[in-house]
Amino acid sequence: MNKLIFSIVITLITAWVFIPEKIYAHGFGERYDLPIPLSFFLIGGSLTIIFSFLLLLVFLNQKHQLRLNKSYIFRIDKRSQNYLFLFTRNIVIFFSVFLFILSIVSGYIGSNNPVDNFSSPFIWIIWWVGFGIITPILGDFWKILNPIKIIYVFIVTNILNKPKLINKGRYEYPKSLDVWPIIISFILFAWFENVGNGSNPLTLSIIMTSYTVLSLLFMYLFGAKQWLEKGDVFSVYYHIMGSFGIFKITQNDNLKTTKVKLRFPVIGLTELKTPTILFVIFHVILLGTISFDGLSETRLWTNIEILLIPSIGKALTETLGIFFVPSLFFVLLWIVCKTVSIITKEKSTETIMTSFVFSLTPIAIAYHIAHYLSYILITGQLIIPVISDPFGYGWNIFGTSNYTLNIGIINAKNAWYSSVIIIILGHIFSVIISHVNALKVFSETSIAIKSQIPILILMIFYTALSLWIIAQPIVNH
Amino acid sequence: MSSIIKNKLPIIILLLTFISCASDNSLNKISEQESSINIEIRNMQLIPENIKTVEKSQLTINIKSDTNGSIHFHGYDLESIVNKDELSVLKMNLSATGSFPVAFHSSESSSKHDTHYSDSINLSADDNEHGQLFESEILMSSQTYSYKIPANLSAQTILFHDHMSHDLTGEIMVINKGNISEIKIYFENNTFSPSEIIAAPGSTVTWVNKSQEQIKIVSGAPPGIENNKHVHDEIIIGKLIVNPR
Repeated sequence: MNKLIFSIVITLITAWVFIPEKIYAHGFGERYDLPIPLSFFLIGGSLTIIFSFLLLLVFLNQKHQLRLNKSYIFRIDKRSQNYLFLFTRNIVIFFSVFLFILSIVSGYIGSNNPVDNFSSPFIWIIWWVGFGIITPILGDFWKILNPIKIIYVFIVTNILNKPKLINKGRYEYPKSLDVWPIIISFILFAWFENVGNGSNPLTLSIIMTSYTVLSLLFMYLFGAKQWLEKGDVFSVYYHIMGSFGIFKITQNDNLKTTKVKLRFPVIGLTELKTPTILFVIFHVILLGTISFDGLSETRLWTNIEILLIPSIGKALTETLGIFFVPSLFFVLLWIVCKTVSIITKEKSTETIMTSFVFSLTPIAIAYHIAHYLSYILITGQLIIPVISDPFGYGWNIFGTSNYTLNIGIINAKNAWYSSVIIIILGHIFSVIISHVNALKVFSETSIAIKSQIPILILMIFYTALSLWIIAQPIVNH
Repeated sequence: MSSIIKNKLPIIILLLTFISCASDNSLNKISEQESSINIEIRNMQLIPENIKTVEKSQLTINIKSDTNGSIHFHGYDLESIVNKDELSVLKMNLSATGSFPVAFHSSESSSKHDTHYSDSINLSADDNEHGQLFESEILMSSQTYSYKIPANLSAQTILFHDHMSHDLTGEIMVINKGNISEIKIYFENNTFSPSEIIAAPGSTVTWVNKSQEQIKIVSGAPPGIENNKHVHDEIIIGKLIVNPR
């Protein structure tokens, strides 16, 4: 326990050291979204409660069995002799590395205006938001596309001629490290996104370069497989998000894709493991920062800023928000799991927390998609002009450099309908996942059902919070 | 009777749907006609603050202003020149829904010395010209320079840059909210940190040179980028809210 407290203190100090007095808002590009009207919010909220209890009634019927484990497997190794497959794979891999290097280079040598530089729209809008939306739908394709992994595998296989370094590094991954690297790097990343000068192309390139060097070093030290599974924040992040998707990608010890399994959406979340409470903390930070991202655009947050900024500055106010929201989530989760532990009298609070933390993921993912749907469709178009002029030099390679955004690409009413539907679907998926997990954890179905009531209340709260954020007018741009 | 209703139910539903669609279309046709709204820019504020309308219509905006300048509708990216006490007309084809910021760029000269607006003063475009508000000596490593924002300055943006390297710019967004504070801007790694700050009138801004390079803090946009100036010194005065049908 002392170790945990010590580690938390170290994390806070690390974050503190990196906090200059910056006041940048996250991302860039204006958002023109209209808040969903009260009627949509109320309908969404009511449907959430109705579906929650309907599902509970369905689960109470013990004859009902969830048969979600059907799947279809594509075995890649059998097709690996196919030249067309190899060609396509190499093209995809080449483009992943090419776009990654182009992003870094354009930050160093291109225009300092984020809108005129390839790196900022590509990294923040296409990759972080766009790929973040695609991954929960399709699956963890980051495993295949991760450019740093591709570069590492290429170096150790073709240059160093030591392919064993993919699976086994110089040292064993230290147990004491646990998931601290991903916790620390995710907090720093969330801070950089929300508070730091994230949209500045040069800063972005410096961060990307540092991240690449550190990743290559840690892959070398602990083996790429070990590092990507335990220490690399984006690999773990996309693994969680991708488990929601319809494709399950399996790789061997040499990080070669061996099979792709087509499965029911969301069900992959029930296969995820949370070995320690630290991983629960990471997951709660992930959920909390996703919510804070939207919350920071509301009038409520602006009022808090007006209150706090004169005394402690904008950077510290935003930083407190990044810490406060996940902490609040953690406390709520702990209270709910403690209640479940008392009601069921079967498992400890810690076991319940590690078993049920992924139940909240579908709501977070649904909120993320709903929140960013119009953003990716409208602001995402910023990538079109910079494709023709990646450095902002005035080039027009593909004839698109004068492209102007089509702001009418999605109608507000369609955005409202889709937001409410997506969030409610997320809620339904969460209730199902939680039920599946409960059947695994508890000895009897009746106890499993009983355990679901406090968790259901937490889910309704989280869904309502997501709907509420979307119902708020955007204040910060 | 009930059996007749039962048998005819699909037809009744179809009929009702058709009537509702027809009435909806007729409503659309009416609202697709042009509409107009009168707005006013007074003391750098938009009246009404939110221009509310619906999509798929042509909106004529009659604009009156007490300041010379230009009004810019973000998103639609439409701009109109407005002259003091003259009526300007802007026509918009509302094809997209959303909440679009409305910005104003004043082009009046020397209005900071004009006490016309009661106790508050406004900066003009000229004030954001090179060195009009402040200009430091050359700052060596760890030297500082401070500028106090006038206490009666109204909400607007003050630009600044490093005169030794014209690429490095920043801005002080003055808002009439919050307390008077002391804000530090550090110069390190060839950048201002932060490069954009929000401050209340009366606050003091201090630049600290944490680099080994020489810098010179000068107000306004760097020479040579005057053409892009309107992008920087515009002030958001309201919103155009286009609701869906």
